[in-house]
Amino acid sequence: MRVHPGRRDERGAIAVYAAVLVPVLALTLMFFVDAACRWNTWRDATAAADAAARAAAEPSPAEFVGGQLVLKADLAQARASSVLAVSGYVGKVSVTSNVPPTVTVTVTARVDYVFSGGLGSSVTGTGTAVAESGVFSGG
Amino acid sequence: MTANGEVEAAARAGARAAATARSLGEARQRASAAARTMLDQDSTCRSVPKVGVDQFGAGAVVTVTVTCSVDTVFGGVLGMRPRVATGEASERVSEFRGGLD
Repeated sequence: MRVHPGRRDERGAIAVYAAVLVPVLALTLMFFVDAACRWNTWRDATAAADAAARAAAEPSPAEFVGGQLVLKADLAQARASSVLAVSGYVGKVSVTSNVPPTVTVTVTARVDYVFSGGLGSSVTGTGTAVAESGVFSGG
Repeated sequence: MTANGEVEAAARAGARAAATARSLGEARQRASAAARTMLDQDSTCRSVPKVGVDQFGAGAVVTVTVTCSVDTVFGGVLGMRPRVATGEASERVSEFRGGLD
């Protein structure tokens, strides 16, 4: 091997760069993959909450009392739950007593991460729908 | 929007359209029209999207499934086969409209 007098030996410099950069790049990649998992779950949960809220705000014939729509809490919850069950979610339904009533469904979903799961174990999706007319009873 | 996102959005539009129908036949028609109109706007699908409607009836939860083949990210460059993207969405059918026919 030729040795150049007065020139610094740079052998191994790439190994140092690689030792620093590879873990950083790997961690960045893991972060984005997990963030995508989280976003995907949030999107699904929000879509399910939206559909559940629309279902809860759509009354059944049993909720017409004396010609007026009275949105009942237990029936609204049952309608929302039936939609959420198809998607495999469970949600909380709340109805405001303003006229017409506004239904809000909150779905909390567990995130299945590919890597770390350091971004939080669950996400919350919220959907809101307003009934066409009527008042709210119960809850 | 990603191909999966587009197909899922089309399924949601199809489900909302199907939930306003009065019969299963009409639900299929409405779901297909809504989903295809949505996918035509972006044309990510390389095939004609397939639209399936399940569990239609008054007060039931109708489920619409949309599938179509889409290019992979580097598919065009690497000559890879298109993959199948699937979207599924559910919507409750009104007790006043569904199953009237």
